[in-house]
Amino acid sequence: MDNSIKKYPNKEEKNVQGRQPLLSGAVVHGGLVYVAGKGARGERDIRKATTQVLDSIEEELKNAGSSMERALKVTVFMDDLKEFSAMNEAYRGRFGDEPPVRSTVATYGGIPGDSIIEIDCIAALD
Amino acid sequence: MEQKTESAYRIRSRKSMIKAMFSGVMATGAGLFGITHAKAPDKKPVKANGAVEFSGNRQPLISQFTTHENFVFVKGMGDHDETDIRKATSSVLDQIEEQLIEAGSSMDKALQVTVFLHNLRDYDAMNEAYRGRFGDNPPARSTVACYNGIPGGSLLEIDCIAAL
Repeated sequence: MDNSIKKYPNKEEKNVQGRQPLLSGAVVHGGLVYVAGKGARGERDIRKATTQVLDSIEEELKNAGSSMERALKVTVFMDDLKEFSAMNEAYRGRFGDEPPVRSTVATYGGIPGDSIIEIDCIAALD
Repeated sequence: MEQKTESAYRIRSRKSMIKAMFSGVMATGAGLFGITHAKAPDKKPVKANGAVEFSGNRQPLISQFTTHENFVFVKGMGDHDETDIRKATSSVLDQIEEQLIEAGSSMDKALQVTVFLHNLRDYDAMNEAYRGRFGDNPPARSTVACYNGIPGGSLLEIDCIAAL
């Protein structure tokens, strides 16, 4: 069993010399990759924001040696539950024919980084 | 063990059934031709899914559960009709248990649980219904309230990661 841990830096955080990073963009261990919660800063259209966030997740998954089709578990944090259906429209199909499990909640004002949606993901490696 | 559980739920969709037949043919072929590795790496399913919602020709939105290696992931479950938090908690945990068993796991193999409550005032009553459901050594748990933020009007939503 491979017990190694590989961490990919969070590209959204500015690299300041002498300061430790706050979080990793993705962490690989035990055949799984854990992708950090991704947001879409400033985007007010839920469909576009959802697509942008899923693009970020896809990029992290590919970078770590996985893919959308290998996603196992997703958590969606929304700013407002009124946008649930529109979020689903942009979400559907992005993970292929056998999508991951998902938990969705709205957190009204509780998502950092000026985003109306945050999504994280656990996936299997190739 | 992995093989057995996979075959148990992969027949749930036509697509999966065809895939299962195909992998059977592949395995037979491998045997006939004396190929030593039973599974070609790129044919091996990395995950298996529980039932997915199919609606017309649209792609499904969510799987009931996914498995990989020794893990099973159960989707966030809610109860959209129940207005009593104890009953809602029991009903949601019943749904989780059903998926865990179908995937080849069980409540006492649960590792990590997240509870999203509609209202934190339901915390104690939720705990009453929750206590004991995962056996003597319950999983790690995180609980938060997300006022009016649970889809479908459910009083709570619970998801779960367990070992197979």
